[in-house]
Amino acid sequence: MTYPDNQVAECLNTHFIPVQVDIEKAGKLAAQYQALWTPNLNVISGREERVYHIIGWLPPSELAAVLHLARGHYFLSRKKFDEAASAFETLTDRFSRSLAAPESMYYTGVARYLSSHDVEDLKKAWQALQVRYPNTEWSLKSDVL
Amino acid sequence: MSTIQWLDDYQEGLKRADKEKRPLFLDFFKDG
Repeated sequence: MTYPDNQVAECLNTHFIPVQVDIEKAGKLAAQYQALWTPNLNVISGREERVYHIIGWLPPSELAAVLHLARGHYFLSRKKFDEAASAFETLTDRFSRSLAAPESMYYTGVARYLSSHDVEDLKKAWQALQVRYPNTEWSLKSDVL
Repeated sequence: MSTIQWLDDYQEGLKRADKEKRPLFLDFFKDG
């Protein structure tokens, strides 16, 4: 996996509790998370809810970006909407060329709306998504407004 | 180069994740 990278290592050490398990020795744990293939990365809350899942290799720059996406989803699951929006926006600001950036913009809108209950926050984020990342799955999903 | 501070005990990781309010990053790897 993509670990000899300072940005990835610092993010994992700072924002996560990193646990590494040999899938062939994991038994019930691998079954619990339906881990059949590696690399297999799971972001899990302290209440054992999986909030993000990555299967397959990613280059360091993509993994570094996706870690912010996973943090955002973690905060969403805990209803910490402002922290979620901040994590998503960090990805968009620092990794704008990442494959994860459109999803990040989509969920920025979701997090901002859930925090403010103002649909204008959702519309603003989603309109920016459609301009910045057209012809993406997330732009399509945001076209509902 | 930063070194990742891996735990190899899932339950220990879960306890820390809950206590420190940080998500657990669980990496299933295949040796070799």
